[in-house]
Amino acid sequence: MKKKNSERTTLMKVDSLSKIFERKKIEPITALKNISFDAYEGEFLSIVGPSGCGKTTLLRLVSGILPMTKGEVTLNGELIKKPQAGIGIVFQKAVLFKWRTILENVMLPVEVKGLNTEEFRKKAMDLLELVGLKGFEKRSPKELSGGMQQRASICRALINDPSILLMDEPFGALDALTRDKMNLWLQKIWSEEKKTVIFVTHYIPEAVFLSDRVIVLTPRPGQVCNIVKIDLPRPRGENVKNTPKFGNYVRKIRRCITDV
Amino acid sequence: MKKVKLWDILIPVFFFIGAILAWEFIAKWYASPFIFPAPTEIIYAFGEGLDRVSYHFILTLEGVVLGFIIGVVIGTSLGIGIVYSGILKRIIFPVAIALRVTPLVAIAPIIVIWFGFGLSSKIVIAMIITLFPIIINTSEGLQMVEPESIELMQSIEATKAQIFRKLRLPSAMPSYFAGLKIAIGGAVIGAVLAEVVAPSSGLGYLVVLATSYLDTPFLFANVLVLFGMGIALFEIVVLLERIIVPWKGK
Repeated sequence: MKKKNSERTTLMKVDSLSKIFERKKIEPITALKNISFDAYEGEFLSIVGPSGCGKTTLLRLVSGILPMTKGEVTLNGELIKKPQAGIGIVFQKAVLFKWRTILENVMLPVEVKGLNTEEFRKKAMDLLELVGLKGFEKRSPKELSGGMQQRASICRALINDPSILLMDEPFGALDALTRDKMNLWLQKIWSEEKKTVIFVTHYIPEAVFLSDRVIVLTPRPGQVCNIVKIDLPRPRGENVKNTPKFGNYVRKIRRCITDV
Repeated sequence: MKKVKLWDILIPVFFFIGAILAWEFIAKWYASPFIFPAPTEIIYAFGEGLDRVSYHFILTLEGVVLGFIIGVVIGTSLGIGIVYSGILKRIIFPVAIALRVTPLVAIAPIIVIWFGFGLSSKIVIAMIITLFPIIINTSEGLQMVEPESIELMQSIEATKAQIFRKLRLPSAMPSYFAGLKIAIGGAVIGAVLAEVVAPSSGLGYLVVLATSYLDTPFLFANVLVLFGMGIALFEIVVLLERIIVPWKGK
């Protein structure tokens, strides 16, 4: 089953990362201070913290979209300086282009890279089937519900077979019931695709439910206050949330955030 | 799409038929044809002058279409240009605004002095009116892109050219077509304005001619033909939009 921690190889290394936003006429804002952590191969890693602690900023730094003030991020030993196709990103919004069908949206990264579309078309169809969107590939994004759109955007992030998947509160805009369903989907996708995932959320039970480890950030400036290893058997179902162990993890993380 | 009931169509149709009938009776019984010609008199005048009307119709249409096309080509290029060049923007904007706020009726004689009593003046004035909405709507459309979409494109290593082609261009289309719809009506105004200022040919020339002869029914006939031309050209743009921007409103 799951490999032991000691056997795990580090895929992404985040080393003393800091971000200071400098603006004219106002004091510089330290958004993140001295963040270090490793993401292991195949691991589901969550980052939780209160609103405004810099979770999203952290993900944007790690993905290379935003330049960092200090520190460095390496993926497979290579320094990340700008966005790269080896990193799949799922944004808060689904960001599907409405002039493209669902399938065409999923194929966008393939097209941009100028790869063989025919070969990837099958893969796209398989991915859409995996997330339960079989039969919707010819539809326009606006015809799909918010949850379905977000699943399509996950397919788009996976199509180029990235070595790591970064997800920025992807289910934040969905209602609680849909969110729970999406979490079950995501667990399934993750176990089938065997991808390393870094998942940002402010919703603690979601992080506990999905993750192998949870990185807890303090309020601004964001600093790592604890890294909690979640030792719950997989695959996890809805009822795992009723176990005392689950409740303990949630409490432990919450205390860490509110104590500081 | 919302279902249109039969009455929603029939009531306006009855209204316009009623209005035309009322027009006919009021004009016939109470007014002189010099001031308020009846629809039948207008149709008669139109039939009488059909050869002249159709000949000059083509000459006006020529000016409208050529002015519009040249205006769209130049306006689109400038609109794209100012998105990528701040200097170009600071040069183009004052000129475009100056041409917009100065009454074109006042500029038209200058254009006629420069370009003569013919097709060229019509084209130039139609083009000037076309330029402004095209420049504005092109540049605004290209910039109305969600930042997340740009980040998405960057995250999949899209080049600037790919971001333009696959993201900015399609997102600009609804705004661009809104500009085209404003511009096509303006192009008709521009060409006819040239013909009225320098009456040598075209429906504008016939309008001036009919006015000087106090041939009011023929004047009305020409105005209605211009109305028809405007509507037809506008509908062509709407049709093009449906073909090119099928996702609009979805």
